[in-house]
Amino acid sequence: MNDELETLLREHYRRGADRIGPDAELLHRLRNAADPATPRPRARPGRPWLRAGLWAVPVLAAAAAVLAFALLGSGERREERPAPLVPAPSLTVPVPTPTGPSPVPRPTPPGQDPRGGSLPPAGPAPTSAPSGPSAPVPSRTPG
Amino acid sequence: MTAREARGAEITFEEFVTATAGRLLRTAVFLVYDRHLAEDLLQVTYERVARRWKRVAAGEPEAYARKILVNLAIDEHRRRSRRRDLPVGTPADVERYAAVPGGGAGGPGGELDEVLRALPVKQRAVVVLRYWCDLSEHEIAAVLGISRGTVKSHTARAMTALRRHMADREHMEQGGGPGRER
Repeated sequence: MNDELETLLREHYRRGADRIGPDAELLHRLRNAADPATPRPRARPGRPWLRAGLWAVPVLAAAAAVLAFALLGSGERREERPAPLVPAPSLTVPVPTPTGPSPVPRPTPPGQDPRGGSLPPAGPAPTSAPSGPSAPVPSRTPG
Repeated sequence: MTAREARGAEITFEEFVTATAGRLLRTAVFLVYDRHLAEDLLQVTYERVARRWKRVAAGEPEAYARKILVNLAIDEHRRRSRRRDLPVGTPADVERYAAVPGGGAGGPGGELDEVLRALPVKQRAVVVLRYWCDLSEHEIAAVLGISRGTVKSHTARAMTALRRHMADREHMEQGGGPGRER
């Protein structure tokens, strides 16, 4: 079976070879392969940018992006550096802060302003006396 | 083919190309099954040979060129396998592709084409080097940079696939369908 297959394969390639040959244009191109002026092989489907050398554009863009991220990242890290445990010395005189117990408000007797004054007596609010001629204020008319 | 291989000691690069272009083009087509791609790979191969022509001319430039070509074909196959969403080329590419005899398929054409195309690229390379280039296992191992044992296993697997294909074909010719129970 192997011999038969080997014969079949050799025959297959021999028959195929009869139909394949370089044309004049290809031979010319290949003979001039050593000449740097010879155009490179045409762009293969799917990779024209690679053949044209345009691959450098996305690579450079990616490199620039990485560099920018690296720089920005290090800058942010520098800004986010934790504050030192020891307070920085300041030029202003420190104000002493009360350390004692805070005063507890005492209950005030009724009628006395906790701030020290006396409260006005309870009752109707005094009306301001008319200081001059004014328009008559309509009042309740009896019955 | 080995006896016919071009020796580079007394020939110029252009003469070397003239003497070997046909054989190497066929090898490339059998490897990649794409005439257009085969031509491109061949040009890259000759460019690399030309760069080292002074050094390789005294030795076996065709073997050197074949090694470059086969490995370029394997690399290209892997690259294309990774990127299956390849768009088509330019209109000029399409016209040229269509102008290739056989509709541009580029393969040798025949009943074995289907199964040979379906082989993994290294197995196909081993088959091409063995049955088209008539290289020994040792030479194939040197070209592909693998051990002789690996060459043997690639050959055995390729032959198994071919045998299965032949058995299926015989089964179909006898009217038994594609050879698999459905």
